[in-house]
Amino acid sequence: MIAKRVTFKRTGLPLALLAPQLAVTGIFFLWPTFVALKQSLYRSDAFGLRQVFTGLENYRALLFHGNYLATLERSGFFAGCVTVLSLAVGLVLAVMADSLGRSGRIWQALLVWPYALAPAVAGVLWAYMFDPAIGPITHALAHIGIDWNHVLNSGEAMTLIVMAAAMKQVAYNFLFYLAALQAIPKSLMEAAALDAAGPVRRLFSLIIPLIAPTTLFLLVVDLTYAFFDTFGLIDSTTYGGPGNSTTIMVYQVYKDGFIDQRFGPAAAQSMILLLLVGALTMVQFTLVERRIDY
Amino acid sequence: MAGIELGSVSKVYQGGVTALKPTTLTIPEGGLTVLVGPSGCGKSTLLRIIAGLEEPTSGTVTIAGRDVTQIEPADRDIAMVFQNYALYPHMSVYDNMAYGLKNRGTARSDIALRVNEAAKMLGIEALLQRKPRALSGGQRQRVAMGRAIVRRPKAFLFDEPLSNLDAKLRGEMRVEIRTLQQRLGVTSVYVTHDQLEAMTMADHLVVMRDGVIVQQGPPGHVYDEPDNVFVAGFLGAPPINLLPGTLAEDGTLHLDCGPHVTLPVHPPLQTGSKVTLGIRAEAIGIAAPAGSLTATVELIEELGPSRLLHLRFGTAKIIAMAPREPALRPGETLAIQLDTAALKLFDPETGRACR
Ligand SMILES: Nc1ncnc2c1ncn2[C@@H]1O[C@H](COP(=O)(O)OP(=O)(O)O)[C@@H](O)[C@H]1O
Ligand SMILES: [Mg+2]
Repeated sequence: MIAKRVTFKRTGLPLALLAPQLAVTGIFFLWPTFVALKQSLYRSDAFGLRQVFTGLENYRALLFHGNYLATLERSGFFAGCVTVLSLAVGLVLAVMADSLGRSGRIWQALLVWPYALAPAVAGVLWAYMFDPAIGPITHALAHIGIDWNHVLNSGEAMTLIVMAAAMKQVAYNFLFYLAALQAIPKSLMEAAALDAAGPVRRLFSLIIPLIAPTTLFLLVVDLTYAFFDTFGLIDSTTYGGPGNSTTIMVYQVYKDGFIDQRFGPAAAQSMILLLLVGALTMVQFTLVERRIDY
Repeated sequence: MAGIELGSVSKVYQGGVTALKPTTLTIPEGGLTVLVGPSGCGKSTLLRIIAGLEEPTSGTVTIAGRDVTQIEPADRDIAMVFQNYALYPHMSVYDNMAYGLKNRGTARSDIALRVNEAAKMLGIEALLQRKPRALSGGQRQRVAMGRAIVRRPKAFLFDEPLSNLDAKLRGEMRVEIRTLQQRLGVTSVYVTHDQLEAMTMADHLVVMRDGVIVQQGPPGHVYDEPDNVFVAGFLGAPPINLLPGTLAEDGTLHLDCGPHVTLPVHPPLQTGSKVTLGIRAEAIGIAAPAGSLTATVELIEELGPSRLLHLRFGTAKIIAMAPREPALRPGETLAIQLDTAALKLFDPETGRACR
């Protein structure tokens, strides 16, 4: 048997091989994180000329004053909707593609496309389709009596970004679900057919429990995506508006830090986001380790 | 009439593989019918057509007098035991067995009654709350059978149910399935590629090859009177000795390997015909009243109660089954005697038996 592990005699070569990765991690991840952590403990003026150490004051202000709690709540709502919607649609599509057998491959290829689209591009397209003045879908909706205007209506704005964000994850979830479905032994479904379980009962009493490990994994991935990866999408569709109605945590950081130049609070928010992503990643690692298996 | 009837059933899979040529078969009621044949001969296809898991390309399926060709698997009143058991991994043993009854709307109390009864019959009462992954292979096998039994179907279908077990367990489960089947008296179809399993379990044996039934009947009869050289070679271990030869004028058979064998009756063949002689290992006697045939011992395999002698017979190699006495050594030459009543002749062209 060939060992998977390579053993080096000296430490020079492995260090040299690791160096680029370590450099990238250090310069682009660790250093900015450290700066942000430091920043979050100071109050600075708009020009960044003077800084006053304030300890946890920025965090206290976020959690007890202003609208940050509303942003948290909004982010949770957004992430929850995106996750549930993309899981449900991804599963339904996967079940349908799986039942098609080989001809399902075409749908498989088509459904994966959205995932390859850059978020900003996808956002621009969504914004165009639903544009209150010139959007083709807006026109179609007008025909059935819906007066769509996500620029003014906050509920519609939220609906738009939820749909746009979910669309991308549907492609991802679909792929994983399809793989999970194809891993279920065919004889299990045949036994169920003999046991008088129709398609719907098979879905709920067999398929969904059997692919639960995949669902857990996707749940974490989708939540992570909705919380952290949707900046580009929002910045190309609703810009967090109308008002603050689509300003979720990542967008709030941007608004506070880059637009309003309030570096302390923005840095503190970054740290909160970091904690959240850290927690989600931990959950994901434990899931992968534990791999709930039957 | 109340068993299972297949009326010229055939199956061509998508992609053009003909798995089953038009086949007509009557599976007797209440007995255990074994479909046996080499891998890929269409046994599973036939079984799955009976179950309704595969739609026949042509033909009809009748179960207990009812034409079920167009009927869903669930409504055919059959239960199936799969090779890999196909237990639901997230359900307890109890729920695995109860699932089909629940789906059919059987009353809770009735389900409990039936599951417990089946569990008792199979000796798995203590395992009812376990998940399948916490069971051994033999226990999973029992659960799979329990799932079939609780349904009280018109027929049991088994697709190689023992092939995932080790040899010892296979022997035990063979007896267990047979006993259970006789006790319940439910029409059963059992698919296997193992001739020993087929011989020992069958009431009615059906031998298949390349999508065709080549012979059927009681296992003893099929063993003793094979219709063709394939059946003769497939059944029995060690396999039957096959020796090509030519029929001589005086009614003796001149084997290509050298020796001349006297046939009990003149076969219905012309002198000079090519013919294949089939002789089973147990029909070769040794140390018999010094006959004209001799063979040299090359290897001895001890089986315990008996032994297998690998002999050189002329230029051919044959295997004889012999008692443990007398002592023999490799290299020794002995007189052998062929049980003339057990000699089989086959047409080397068609493989058919010459009777
Ligand atoms: N779903 C299928 N699609 C195409 N060919 C199949 C399928 N199932 C079986 N076959 C082919 O049909 C033939 C008979 O298969 P099967 O009935 O499974 O044989 P057995 O059970 O006797 O080993 C084989 O050649 C096999 O490759
Ligand atoms: Mg098979």
